[in-house]
Amino acid sequence: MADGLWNRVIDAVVKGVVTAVTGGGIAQVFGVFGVWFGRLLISAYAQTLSLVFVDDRFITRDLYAEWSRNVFVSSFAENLGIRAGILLLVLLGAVFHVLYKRKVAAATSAPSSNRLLVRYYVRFYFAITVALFLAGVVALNVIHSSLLLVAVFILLVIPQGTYVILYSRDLVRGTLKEQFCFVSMLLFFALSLLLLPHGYGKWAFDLALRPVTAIAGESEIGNVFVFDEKDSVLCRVTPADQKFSLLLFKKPFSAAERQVPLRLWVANYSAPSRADTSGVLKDFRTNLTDLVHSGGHQ
Amino acid sequence: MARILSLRTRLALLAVLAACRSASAQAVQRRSALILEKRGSIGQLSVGTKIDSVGGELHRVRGQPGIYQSSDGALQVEADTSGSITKIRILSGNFLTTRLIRPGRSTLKDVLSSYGRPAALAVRGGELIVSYDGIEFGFPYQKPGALSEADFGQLLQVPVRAITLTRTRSKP
Repeated sequence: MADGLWNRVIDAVVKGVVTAVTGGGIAQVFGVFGVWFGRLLISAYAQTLSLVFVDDRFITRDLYAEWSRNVFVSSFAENLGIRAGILLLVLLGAVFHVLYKRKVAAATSAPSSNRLLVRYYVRFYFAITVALFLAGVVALNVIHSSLLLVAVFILLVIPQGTYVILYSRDLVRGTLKEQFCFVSMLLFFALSLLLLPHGYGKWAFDLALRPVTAIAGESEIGNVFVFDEKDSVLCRVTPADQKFSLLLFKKPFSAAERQVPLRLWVANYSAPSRADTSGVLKDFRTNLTDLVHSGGHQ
Repeated sequence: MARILSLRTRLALLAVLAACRSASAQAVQRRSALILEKRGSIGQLSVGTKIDSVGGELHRVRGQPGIYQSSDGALQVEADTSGSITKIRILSGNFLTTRLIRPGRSTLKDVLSSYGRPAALAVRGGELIVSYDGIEFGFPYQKPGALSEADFGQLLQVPVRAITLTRTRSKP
């Protein structure tokens, strides 16, 4: 009696922890609790384009969250179209596969009534599950298309999340196969959460770019640029040696100028020759000497 | 109240309050990190606008009429008798101009390289003031008798003490 109660408590605790970890991970993706998803995204982006953050403290938390959400909300939703139906069907198939695990034990004990294909499916259920989701995780690391990245991510994360939440009991009370499959799924889930922002930042993410001359009276500034992200963020890039210092910060700003993708700009950018400042320094020294001698104002 | 809360609890509460205050001060800085010298503005502050429109981010400096300061001391604002902002003095390295000049971090050489020939030079209150249209850079300066090559080399490495936004000539 006491053992039964104790087992139920352990099961409940494991389920609670797994659910919290899984739910928390998914919430991170949408920028609900934290900003690491957005940080991973922008870090991979900056690394790919050789951008150096002078001080990334200027990127506000809500901006990170916005970038995270936009991975799904804007780029994905706008380009999906009729392919949504196919994605939904495949997703339902993956979820059905996960839910079928409940029948695996019963089907294994009475295999004679099943067809050959079903028998093999039941027999190798755990191997198929691990192989299927491992292939998905590998694909997530290889794909360069933004649409496919997000589609594969959804196809992976929803079934994986369902699996680890539904079968958390396997961790403490499952057979060796069940335990191995559960741990693999949990690992794949965590990897998917890391690989999507990394891949998306590396291949798909981009900021809108705008010459600083677009803002009034700034025409003298040579190679300094200002970005305008959804008319609410002001950013700027300064070429330094062969890299770019990038500053980002939130500020209300609106303009109707044409926007240029940063990826395109970086690809076509050629470093300017450094200006000769020796003449300026010489003049300054002369003026300062005069000032020192006059003891007044120039 | 004192009887309800132990000394340890009160100290913990004070620490939390101090952390919140520091975090909110940082949040203000992050909101307004860029100095737009051509516009004479930094965040919500802008030369020529009314001091009342800034809200609660600034407080009056006692004994100095028309002088206001941010709670962290990073910004000092001078207003005329009508309450219009005439100067904004920036002392914190968290702020930077559109040409990446930061108080405490950028040197006189950086300023001259980025902004070119200054419109005016002056020495005021122990500071060498290097002025351009709408912006002044202040450097700590002890006036030497003669400016040798070594003196000049050292002077070029002196970091900016303060950046002051003033009215621009082009601004209406």
